[in-house]
Amino acid sequence: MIRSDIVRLYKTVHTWTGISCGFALFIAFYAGALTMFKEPIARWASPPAVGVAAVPLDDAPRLLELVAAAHPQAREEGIKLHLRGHENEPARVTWEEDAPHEEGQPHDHVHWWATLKPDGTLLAQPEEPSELADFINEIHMSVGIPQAAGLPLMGLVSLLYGVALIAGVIVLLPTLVKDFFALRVGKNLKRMWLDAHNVVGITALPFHLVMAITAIALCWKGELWSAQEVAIFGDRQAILMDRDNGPFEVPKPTGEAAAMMAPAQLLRKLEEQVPDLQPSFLVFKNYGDTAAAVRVPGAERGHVGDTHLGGVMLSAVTGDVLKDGALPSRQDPDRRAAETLYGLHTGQYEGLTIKWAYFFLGLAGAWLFYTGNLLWIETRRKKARDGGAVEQSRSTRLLGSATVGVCLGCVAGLSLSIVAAKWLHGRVADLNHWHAVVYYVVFLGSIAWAFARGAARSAVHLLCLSAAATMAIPLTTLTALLFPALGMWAHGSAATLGVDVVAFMGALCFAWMAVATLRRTRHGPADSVWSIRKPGQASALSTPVPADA
Amino acid sequence: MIVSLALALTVLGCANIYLASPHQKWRARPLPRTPLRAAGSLLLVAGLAAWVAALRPMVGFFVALHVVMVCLFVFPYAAAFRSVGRGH
Repeated sequence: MIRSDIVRLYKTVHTWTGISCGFALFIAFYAGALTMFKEPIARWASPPAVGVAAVPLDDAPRLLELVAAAHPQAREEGIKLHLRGHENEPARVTWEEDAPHEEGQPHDHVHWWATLKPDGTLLAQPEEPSELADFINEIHMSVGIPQAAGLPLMGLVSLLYGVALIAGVIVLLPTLVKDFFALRVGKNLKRMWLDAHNVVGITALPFHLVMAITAIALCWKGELWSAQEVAIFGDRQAILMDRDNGPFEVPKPTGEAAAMMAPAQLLRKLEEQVPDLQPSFLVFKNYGDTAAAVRVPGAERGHVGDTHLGGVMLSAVTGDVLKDGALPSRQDPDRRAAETLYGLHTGQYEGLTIKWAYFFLGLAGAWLFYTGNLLWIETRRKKARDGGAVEQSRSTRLLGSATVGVCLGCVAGLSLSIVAAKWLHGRVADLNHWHAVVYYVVFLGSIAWAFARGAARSAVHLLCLSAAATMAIPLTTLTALLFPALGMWAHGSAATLGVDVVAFMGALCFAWMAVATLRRTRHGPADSVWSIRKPGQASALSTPVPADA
Repeated sequence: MIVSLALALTVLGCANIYLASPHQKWRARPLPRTPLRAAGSLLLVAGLAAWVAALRPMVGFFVALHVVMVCLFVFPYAAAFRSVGRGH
């Protein structure tokens, strides 16, 4: 039995750590849930490659030869050969070339793609790929604050999140078994929000603990790296770093020409030598040289880890494995442990089952922080006695507005940022910059609206906005299908249609919440920040209404 | 095939565990708890074994764990939404 004063202490710790980090964690979890489908979102947002016929894998050697001859820098830096034919892969091969950094440009390199014309000659063009999915990931990692400040801040938030989790479990211990699975919906709103909060927090506790620990490590990686250098490794850290980078270092070119093995043949050789590796793509370095190499990143069956870094290096001449130190089953134990933790954070293992599980757990995490705030407000609600008037405290009114503005502003902002990928394509110079503009305008506008109109009214407005913005995702695809002259596109793959279907379902959920909230503001208890009625004013409804805020 | 079986066993195992809880809201008249708990535990163990067989130990364990977590919070919420929908 835990002493009641200890429970009270941990409750205070849980409450204040939770309240202080809740907004950032809501954004991180909501955007994080979307990043589980980063690839389908990138595919949905990528325009079709107009006039570019897909080059069969058997014709790839000719394409690679032409690119290597015409673009020496690509030959040196690496020519990426795509294997899946997804919509976000503009052609069979792509690469990056250095470019002088220009004002207003996001980076100092240019993305190129290349294909074969019908007459067998090379068609190569520079084109910026959609960075929408990366933008959502940035919001997830640093909640929209520039990374230099955002990452350290999110490290601190993650630390406090871990403290809040442990404190919350200690508070719950005395009633953990008795109340497990309890979700009592009724007139006792405090009990209802407490149950709604606890069910999600306790049943998904292992997920949250892993997220808190790995997020601290990921956000403070620079600081931890420096501390490790000072405290443990000293000068040896550089040596260890070199050893870590060894599997990615390509052999020096000899300058002698050699015949390259065809990609289809390379894949067969790979299957024979490393049968458990599922290749994502191939990167050819020094194509045409006797020392040419192919990096093959991918997932290895049975291992949790980074699918972009793990993999092997093959000889482009013989197809033999040159280096396999980055293969999960061959990594050093310390590297393997780090990769496993990273993979557990990002859900990079198995396939669709884990992506959907992380998606729902991410949304449930966002809901956990939202309900935490609602519980804080409900706990501090001043109840009217005998129909008399009562003013809710300033802190609850402000937290109510902030909860609605930040959380729903993030939802609506992300949805409209996704929609912008199709509506603004070809209409603005730098679409990737506009994703951020759309997000911040909606997000900050929502916060301003929430404080201007109060929690109750703005909750309805912003839920309607979230529903409309999210519904705009499938409607945009439908519009593209019905009106091709608008210059938008509607891909027909299961992954891109999945984005539309999930957005449609999400929009219905937000619409349902908007209706429930509207009823709550009109007919729920008047002595609350979630009511637009004055205390004592009668509800228009004669029957009791389930209270939703 | 084995992944579908593993998923079905895990979801059914969690459903049994939920139905064995005194707070379950799926049935107006609760079923006997001890047999449900035993069946739920057996199904979860079988589900874990199937995940491990399909995906090898480490990945199998983590996939099973995450599916269990999702089921354990979805079931009470599904029941609560159902009771709200019925006006209880």
